[in-house]
Amino acid sequence: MRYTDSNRSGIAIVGMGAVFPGAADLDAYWHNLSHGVDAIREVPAGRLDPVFFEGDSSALDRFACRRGGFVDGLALFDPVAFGMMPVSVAAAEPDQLIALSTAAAAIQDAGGPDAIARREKVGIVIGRGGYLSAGQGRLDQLVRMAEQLVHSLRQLVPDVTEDELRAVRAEFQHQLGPYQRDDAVGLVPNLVASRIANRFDFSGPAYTLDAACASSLIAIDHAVRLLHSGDCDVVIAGGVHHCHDLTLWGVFSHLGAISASGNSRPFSRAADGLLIGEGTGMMVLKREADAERHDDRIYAVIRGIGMSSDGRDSTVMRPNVAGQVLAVRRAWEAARLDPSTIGLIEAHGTATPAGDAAELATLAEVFGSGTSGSGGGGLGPVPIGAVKSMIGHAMPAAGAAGLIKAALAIHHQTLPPTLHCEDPHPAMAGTRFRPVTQTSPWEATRDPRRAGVNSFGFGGINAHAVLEEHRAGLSVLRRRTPGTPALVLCAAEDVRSLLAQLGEASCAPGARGSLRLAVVSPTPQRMALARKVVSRGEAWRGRMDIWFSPRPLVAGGGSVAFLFPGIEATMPARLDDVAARFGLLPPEPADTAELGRHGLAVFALGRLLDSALGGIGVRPDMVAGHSIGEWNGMVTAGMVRPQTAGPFLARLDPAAIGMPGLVYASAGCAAEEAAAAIQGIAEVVVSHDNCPHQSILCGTEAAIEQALGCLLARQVIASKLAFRSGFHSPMFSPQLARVREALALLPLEAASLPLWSATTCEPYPDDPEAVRDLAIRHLVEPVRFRELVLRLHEEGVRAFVQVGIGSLAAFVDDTLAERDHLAAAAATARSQGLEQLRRVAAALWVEGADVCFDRLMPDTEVAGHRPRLPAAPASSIHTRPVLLGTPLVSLSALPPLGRLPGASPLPATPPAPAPAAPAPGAPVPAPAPTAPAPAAPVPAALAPAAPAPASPNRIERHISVEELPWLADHCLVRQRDRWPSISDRFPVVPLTTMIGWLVERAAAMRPDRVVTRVERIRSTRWLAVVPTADVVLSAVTEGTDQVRVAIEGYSQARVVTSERAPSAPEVQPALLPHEEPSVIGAEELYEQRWMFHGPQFQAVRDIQGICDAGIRGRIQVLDAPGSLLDGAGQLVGYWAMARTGLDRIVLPTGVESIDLFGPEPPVGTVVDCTARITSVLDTTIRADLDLVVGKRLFARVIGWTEHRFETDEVLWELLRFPEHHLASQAQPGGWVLAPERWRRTASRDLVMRQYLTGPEQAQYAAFNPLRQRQWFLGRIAAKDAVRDWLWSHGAGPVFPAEVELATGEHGEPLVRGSFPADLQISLAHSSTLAVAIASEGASVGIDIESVAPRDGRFDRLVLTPAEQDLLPDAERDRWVTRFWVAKEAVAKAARTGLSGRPRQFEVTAVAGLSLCVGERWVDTEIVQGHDGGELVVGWTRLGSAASNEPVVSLTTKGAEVVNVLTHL
Amino acid sequence: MLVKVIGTDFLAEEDVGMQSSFSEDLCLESIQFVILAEELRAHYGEKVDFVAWLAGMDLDTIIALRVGSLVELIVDSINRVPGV
Repeated sequence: MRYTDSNRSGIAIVGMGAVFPGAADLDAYWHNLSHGVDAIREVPAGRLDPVFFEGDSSALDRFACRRGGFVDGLALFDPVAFGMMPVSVAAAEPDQLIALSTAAAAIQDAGGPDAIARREKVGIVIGRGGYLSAGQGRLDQLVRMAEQLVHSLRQLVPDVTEDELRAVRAEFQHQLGPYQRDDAVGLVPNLVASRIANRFDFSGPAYTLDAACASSLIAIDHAVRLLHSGDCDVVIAGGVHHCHDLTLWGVFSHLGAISASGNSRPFSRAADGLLIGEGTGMMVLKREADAERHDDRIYAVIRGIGMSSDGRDSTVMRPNVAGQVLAVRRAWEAARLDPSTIGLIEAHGTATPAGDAAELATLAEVFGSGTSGSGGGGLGPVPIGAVKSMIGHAMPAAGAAGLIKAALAIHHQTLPPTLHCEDPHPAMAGTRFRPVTQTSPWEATRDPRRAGVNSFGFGGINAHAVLEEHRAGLSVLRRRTPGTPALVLCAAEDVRSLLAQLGEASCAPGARGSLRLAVVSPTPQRMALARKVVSRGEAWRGRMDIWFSPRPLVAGGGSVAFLFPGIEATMPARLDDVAARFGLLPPEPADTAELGRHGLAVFALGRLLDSALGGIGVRPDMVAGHSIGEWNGMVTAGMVRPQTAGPFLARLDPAAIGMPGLVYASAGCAAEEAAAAIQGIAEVVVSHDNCPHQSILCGTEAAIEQALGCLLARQVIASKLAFRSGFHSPMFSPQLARVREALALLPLEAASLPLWSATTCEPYPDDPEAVRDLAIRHLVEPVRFRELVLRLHEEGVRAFVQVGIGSLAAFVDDTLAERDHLAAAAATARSQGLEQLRRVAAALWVEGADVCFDRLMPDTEVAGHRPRLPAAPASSIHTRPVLLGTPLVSLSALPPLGRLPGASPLPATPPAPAPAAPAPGAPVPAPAPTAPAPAAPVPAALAPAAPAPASPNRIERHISVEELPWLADHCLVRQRDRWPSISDRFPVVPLTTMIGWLVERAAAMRPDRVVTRVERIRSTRWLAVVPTADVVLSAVTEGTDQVRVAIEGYSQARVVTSERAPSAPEVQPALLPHEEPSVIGAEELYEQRWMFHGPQFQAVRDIQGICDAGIRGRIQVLDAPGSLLDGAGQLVGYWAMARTGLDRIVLPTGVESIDLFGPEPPVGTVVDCTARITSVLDTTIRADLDLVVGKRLFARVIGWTEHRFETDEVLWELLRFPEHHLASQAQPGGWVLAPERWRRTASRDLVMRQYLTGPEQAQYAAFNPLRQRQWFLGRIAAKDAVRDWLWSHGAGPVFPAEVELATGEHGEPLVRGSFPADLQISLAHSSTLAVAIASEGASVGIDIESVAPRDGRFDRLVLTPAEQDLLPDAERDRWVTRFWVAKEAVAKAARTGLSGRPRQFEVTAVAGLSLCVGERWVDTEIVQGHDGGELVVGWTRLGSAASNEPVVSLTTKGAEVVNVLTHL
Repeated sequence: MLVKVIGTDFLAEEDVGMQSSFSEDLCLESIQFVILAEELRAHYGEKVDFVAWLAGMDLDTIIALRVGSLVELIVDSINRVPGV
């Protein structure tokens, strides 16, 4: 294009990133270029199946040449660094991942995302071919090939059943990986650009374009235009190509374009074709003037780009000289430069004879022939290079490879060599160019160093770029040195020395002195203002990003308070960069539409910022919060764990708890004035006193409208707010019961920092119950934030840090006005996260706080040139090789078709008579890749190839605790010492032991080989040894290296063997991000029964650190088989227990893969284990583990999966210490209430095994599921009633199994057990509740019944006339139920039951809520069921058979105790 | 008056012009708008009804508000003949 005069300034390349064959990053690329490294190699295994390579075939799907350029092993991706879940990487399009990480590297190279430009002015243009990429190839296999396969099998294999075909399709798709619906969308090709825009939040245009092999240069041209038009200030442009697909190979092979000799020799006389390469190159481009102003490192300047197409002369195979000439000329015209001044040409140079000849003709025509001209300063021939000689043809990315090479050559003033061109093409002599045979300096000439880059595509699309070195002397603007820092920090003891320092601008974070000045993003204007500020000598806090404090507040003894905002209307936070920098999870996009989610987002933001502030050394002396911000405060103060607070907040969602719509309005006046304004309006209150100039009203829609009118009349600015909740108003009161319910479940701990309440303007109390009460008051009383701020100031707080998005800092400023203080927001909606954090750090540092700035600086912050960072953070644990291939799918795991065993769920066609079985143990052949020659189906020919399952591959194994005594230390259920039945302890073979057995079986099948990997480990059910178990271990070999093994019905895995063990990689010990010391040690792990394991499985030696990301510890190898891996699993289990609130009990159920780098270390070895949590879902937790011996990796475990059992606090305590805890709730009346605390059977099963003994379990198993549930709850209640009675009478520990129940002759329950007391019990249940009562000596009765409307007929049937007279009129349904329950309870106590004659047991008196039946008094109470309905519980009063209590009238004496079921 | 609201004196001479945006350039928080309204009321009395003026705008408009617009309001309000 022709650039206008105003655009005379070129386009600067200020950052680059590259992944090309042999080079994982830009540095490696230059190293290879300058050292002449030939990166061509044979096709790596796994990329293209060997079956496709055949010497002489002319078939479209057979290739002779096996060589090319490949990035396998070099293209790495760290999903976590880019905010992706590691699991999603497998299904992602590989070129998108590589483009993203390469673009990130280029951006980093240019100074990082903060430094390059405003995000809305950053564009992305990427050249990418429309070829079948690896991800799309895999999707095609999944969607089309799977069906094609089944379709063909159905036609060709007559005996095949639909079940078998379903299995084939399922296995085929399974082998392709874990695809989910969303994954397919992620494969849309243009996302290669969008992903980058998304990740960095760039909102300039982001798109891909396809111009065949000229794509990259055309993309650069688009970038240049976007920059010159002003649409963008920065464009990231380049090319991406990672497509060694068969179809692409087929096209080039068929054209005869691929080198038969397997060499890429551009411009050599012997050139015989190209080699297919791949790669990604990205450049960060800016207008030259901008780059100079920003003091960017400029690799080279793009002066002009020319493009053309061959027009009617276009043919696919014949390059057209005229078209190429046009493009090259246009480029030099656009650059307004004389082509003869060229100093280097980076040619297209495909190494096809026709292509090379045409290109040389083009060069001769444009740049002249003969070497005597004035080119390159008139000094002899001009060098020509072609990077394709080193990396092959990277197709759409080829232009990027060439352009980056030329820019690096200019930057390093070095001419890199081109390979394999010792004997040049004869036409070379007719040009001014000569190949560069060895690396040589690029000598300076009169003109700046200039290079031309060619890129000519299929179909006649041509492009040429002119690059020039950037010379400081040539630029219009003066270059400033050194580079502009992100932050200036100056410190001195007096104003004069501070001013003197400012003059030198030599400030640094290490600066010492009590008088401090900080300027963020300093500009000359700001620095001038800063000088004024300092010389004036008065405090200046943050305006124009300048901070100065002549009397530092924190150094002077002032405290720091963290203030957590609640829900405010403005929410978008830009904290991705903060998360990335501090290794935290990036914030989810806030869904502010729903209050519960909005609240969670606010909470998460607070957590993130709190951690980040901690990361820079900023910690509060005290904490406070505004509205629900107080919950964040509780976490920071150590009172609540973040894992429990989040779910609690979610439950506060008014929509979820049925809150009527209440509206808020903000009023621009003091609370008193607002109160005066709304006087007389019903249903509206002042809910927040924020500061002298703002208060908040809460009320019904209509009331708020009325209030707004009154305020406006007083000239008070007022407006309705966007969210509704009703918090902090008395109108929220009806919802409190629900909140109390949630609160009761929330574990509270002692505060480590004072948390100040905005309800009382005092610190929170210590007593947990008082805390809960205050938390309740907080929801219905006004937020007294203004008073709180004044109180905190009185307490000595001088620095107030707002930890979240909101207006708290402004409230503080308004409230404290002239009083000495600092109020700073750690995040705002308008600034980028790190930038704002830098401001807070500056503000606090100026006040004398210790702040560590290291992690706040742009990565490249040093004087002068920026150091280059590695392109990919290869050290990161999550970094994985990108899956580049579309491999053939192997179905050898399936049994032969047409002869599935009869176990299939649908009736299978009867199997044909078995042919002669092959030799036992013969390996099952993999389906032959070549189809049988005859075109017609020949089923008989297929059948003999399928061997019958070989019986020697099945081994039976008997398991018992006697033979494997260590099993006694792997029991899931706790019982009293010397409890007679081992079955009641529920010994279970650990999954890790089963893995060991499976590996042994596989090793036995392949005695000559070494096991290197175990994968797809799945356990389908517990292998319980009660008291013994018999299992079948089966093994099927697959190919030469794999064995599929199973403990039939329990677990399975695939074991991969190899000829020799791989060498163990060396691992550097590394801490986890934000690792904290573990609260408990390894001993407590077992003593406090976090783990159920007995001594022989107590393998964890110590826990070295724990954090949200994972856990680190040391494990000692013990005698018990599987103890090492089991110990590693215990670490994950402990993480789950320590870091999740509910559902903390976990057990391992599967593993994706375990790579083994050697034999298991000997017993006694101490192994370092690092577990990184990869996902926490409702029912599973997954982790990746590294086991390291010394410094060598011994095993790498991917996808360790733990099943989470539903566990609330009660079950958590119960399962650890069953001898001290009840599953029921003990009631003041001496009875117990057992609610159903689980929804999933797995959890019920766990509790069942704890409560029921062997015979009871047999009884339980015989019931239908509904009966099971009720009966089991009744057993819990009965056993708990007995245990509770024993404890309240001084007994020691009692396990549930120690309480035996029998049934008496009238069906009444009898207690058996070795107790000193003769206990009587009664129990009753109703749907999901059971109740029971126990007493000594006297008989007892209890009953429970739902309160329901019952008609008069029921009354007449059940109640005597005297009773009907006694029945109160009020609350009739409740009273009828009470009467019934009382009769039943007494009848049970009489051991007869009502026996169908309810009138026989007559209620003779009523006192309060107690009823007298015959001689017995029955107390009653109302409880709430799971469905919210009421139930009456009635129990015979203990102690006295007759009552001394006077009979009083029916007016109730006191409030009824309503038991709120707290869970489920 | 702005200086009183914002709290720094010599910033005004240098940076504030008719094009300065209240929220972007002067970083006025919503409360400071209120204080500004109060100052205007104290200074101009009933003549300048800043509150009613703001009430007619949506949030985005308020955020984008420039000093010049307020100056126009004040000038218009003062020049308006009372009673007409």
